[in-house]
Amino acid sequence: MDTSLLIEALKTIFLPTNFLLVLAGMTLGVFFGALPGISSSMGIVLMIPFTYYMGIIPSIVLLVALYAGSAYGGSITAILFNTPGTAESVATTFDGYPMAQQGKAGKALGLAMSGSAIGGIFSVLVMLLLAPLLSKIALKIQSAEYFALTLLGIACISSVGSKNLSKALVTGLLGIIIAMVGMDPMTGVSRLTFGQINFLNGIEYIPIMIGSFAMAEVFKQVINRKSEEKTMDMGDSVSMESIKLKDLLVYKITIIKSAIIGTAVGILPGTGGSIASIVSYGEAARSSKDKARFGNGAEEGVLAPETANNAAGGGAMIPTLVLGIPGSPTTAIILAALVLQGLQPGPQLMTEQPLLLYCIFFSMLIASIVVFLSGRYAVKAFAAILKLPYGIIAPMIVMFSIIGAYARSNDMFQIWVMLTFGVFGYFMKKYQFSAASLILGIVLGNMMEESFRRQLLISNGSYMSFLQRPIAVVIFIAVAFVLFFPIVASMMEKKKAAAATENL
Amino acid sequence: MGEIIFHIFLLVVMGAFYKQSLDINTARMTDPIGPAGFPRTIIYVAVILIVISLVSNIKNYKANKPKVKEKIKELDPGFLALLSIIVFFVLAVNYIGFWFGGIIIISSTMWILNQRKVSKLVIITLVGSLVFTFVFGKILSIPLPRGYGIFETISYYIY
Repeated sequence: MDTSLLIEALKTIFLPTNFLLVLAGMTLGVFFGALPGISSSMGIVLMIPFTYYMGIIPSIVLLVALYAGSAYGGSITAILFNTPGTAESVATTFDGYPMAQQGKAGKALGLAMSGSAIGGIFSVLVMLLLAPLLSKIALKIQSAEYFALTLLGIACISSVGSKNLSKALVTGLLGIIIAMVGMDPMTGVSRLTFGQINFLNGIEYIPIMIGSFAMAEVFKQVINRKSEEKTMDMGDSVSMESIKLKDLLVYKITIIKSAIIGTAVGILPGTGGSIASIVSYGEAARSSKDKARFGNGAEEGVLAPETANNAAGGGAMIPTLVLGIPGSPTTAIILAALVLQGLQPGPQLMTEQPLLLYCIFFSMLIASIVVFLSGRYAVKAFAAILKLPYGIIAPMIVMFSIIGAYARSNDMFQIWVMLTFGVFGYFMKKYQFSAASLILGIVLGNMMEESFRRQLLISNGSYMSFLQRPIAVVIFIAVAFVLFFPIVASMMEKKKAAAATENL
Repeated sequence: MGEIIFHIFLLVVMGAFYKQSLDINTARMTDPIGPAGFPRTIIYVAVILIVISLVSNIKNYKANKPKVKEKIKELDPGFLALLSIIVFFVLAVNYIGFWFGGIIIISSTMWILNQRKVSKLVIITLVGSLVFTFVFGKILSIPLPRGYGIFETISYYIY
């Protein structure tokens, strides 16, 4: 590592204009991330026209700071309203929302903020130290490993994200089928479109996500409403005082594991924070001594996904910058912004623009530190919303849902999709099917199919080729473990209980 | 019973997707399974899982059959009204404009959720609709529908 370049990058970042842009980007990121449907990718797209008039470094630091801030922002609505602002925050709802309902919204937000900051800082440090080496390893990950990884993502969310494994798998599979609607990526033929032109380019997952989470929750509240005025009922105090360093140290193993999982998954091109957060949530639940708390307001259940999805944000920048392969939809847009500035991301970027690379890393680092230091004020502002009656919050959620669905492609058809999945999501929730599995299926479906078919193509149709790659085999074993361990464990517990009754 | 119906609905959805998968053109196949292979496999697995879950639900239902007829909560007038209002909004927004559609959505949702104090309802509805329209239409430059006639004229004052 060139220390003179590091110092030069630090000086550049601390120039007043650049520093202000980092702060502005972080604040906007938290704001965009918190709004369901106005994701970090949309936020960056909306900011790109402003960067036309800036230089290369100011424009890119603004966008990456926005990216870093949005990863935290997504957790705010996930915890307060059970409405993840981004796909990366889906896993945060599992325990964040129950914590909020128990009157611990402030603590959940504080944990999310701390986890986000630590995950972000960890991944940036890894980027700084290991970017060249990690990019070489990432190149070894091929189709078989990608397929195994997507399978692991679905398996993890199905086994931990729902009370019923088969129901969660059903919605995950339905998500995969929805992802396949539109043009086949390998042959270009249209499929599963029901003759609709609107489906030719596939079905957007943002309206489905907004519908099955936000609208479904509004429908549930409307159906179960009572005559008296109802607030969010999460306790009056959401102060951040309860989060201290020693509270975090209790979960140091969870934090370290999640940061490593997040960074490692994020580095793999095309994966991103949604898989990272779910895999780390699954790992935290699996390794916990008190598994029953997961899904009912476990603190590790908030820390693990938030640490991982922020770490993945940093990790995803490595393939984007070093290989020119985006690690997530948001980094794909950052890639486009780099190209707009006349840069060509790829291996040559390390040699041609080393200063820019370090400036990007430092802007993400500063954004993470600022989130940690100033996040509590943002949290207090958002938490004030809790004191409003649901009758005022619900219309705002409906409006955000409508705009979020529409603004994705300025198309009214997306509102129909959102509304349909709002009703469908309500019934899924009612009958304990997993909406999170559905979303993950949609997000991962295309990658799963493409990597599966590509592997078959390069191995002349040999299904055994999936088992001839060591990394893929390890991931497949992990999939089997995640899927079957809970079943085997419950069977063994039943046997033990039966034996104990017989002995009595 | 509702859960059983939901399972049957899922089977119908899978059936519809399966029927669609039969129409996929596989003439230009470049890989061993083609564009129809993966979706069909997923549908088969999903159907098996739905059937397993359905059977277990039917068993549960028979074992704990309710003596009194279940009330269908989803026929709640508030829920049906909200659904109808959003459907109306989508159908009419190109004529009445986003700002006025927002007024209808916000006021009716508040009313359904028992916010009946007129002053509060009017203020929140007007401010909410104007803020949403201004922020997304003006600041974020999202091309929100303006509507026709008077609705369009007023929209130009907002964004």
